[in-house]
Amino acid sequence: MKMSDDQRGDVLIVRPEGRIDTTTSEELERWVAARLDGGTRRLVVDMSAVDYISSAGLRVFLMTVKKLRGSGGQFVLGGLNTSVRQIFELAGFLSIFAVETDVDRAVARAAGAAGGA
Amino acid sequence: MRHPAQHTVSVAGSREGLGRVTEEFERFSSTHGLPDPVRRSIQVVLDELLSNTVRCGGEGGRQVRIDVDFLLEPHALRVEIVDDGTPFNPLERESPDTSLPLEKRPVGGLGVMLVRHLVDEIAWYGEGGGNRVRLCKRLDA
Repeated sequence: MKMSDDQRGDVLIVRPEGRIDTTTSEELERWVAARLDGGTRRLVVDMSAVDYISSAGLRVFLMTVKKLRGSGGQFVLGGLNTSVRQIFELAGFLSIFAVETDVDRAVARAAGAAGGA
Repeated sequence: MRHPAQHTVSVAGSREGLGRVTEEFERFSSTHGLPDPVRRSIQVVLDELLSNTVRCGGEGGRQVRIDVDFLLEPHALRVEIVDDGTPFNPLERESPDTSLPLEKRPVGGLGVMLVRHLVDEIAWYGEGGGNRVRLCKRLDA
């Protein structure tokens, strides 16, 4: 799985590409965990290049939001395609995650002081 | 789209085997022009079901064999997954409560619930020391 970072102010944007499944989710987990350990508290995941996600990937996001919320951070997802959004909806994740239609809105939300992770 | 089209993949019940099924279904989808929502739903379903088999498939750490058969009909895709692992009906697993607040959410247990929602029909058959799962996804869904 290809991944990249983009820092905008104090918001870090992580951009995974391809599928997030049993085979690739551990890589995403390590990538995100390293950034949280490095002090990132405002995190956006740009999902616009993610083809699909299985429950292995949902698990990574669930752990990430729990960690960030526990430390007063911000975690916002942006740019989900319709298939990925459907998975989030079925899992009941749209009510516990901050989700924006595109990455710019996600960054604006993560940069704002108000609201939880 | 050409019909009918059929493809079978036989792999070891391992992470590598699971990866091969993913790649081969990706190729099958591209060759036959499967709609993206159908391709993605089936990829998620395969990941959920096969990762389960890889994790708990064989008794005493024995590696299982998995055969996956794809049959593309004019209006639906049929998938059959056969393994020689311990008989276990994944569909009997209780669905997690998806309305719980964040702090009470269990990490995991969502896979089978996703599978149920992403296909139009699914059935499990325990037979002769193994499992057979048949599912169907309409192409217009």
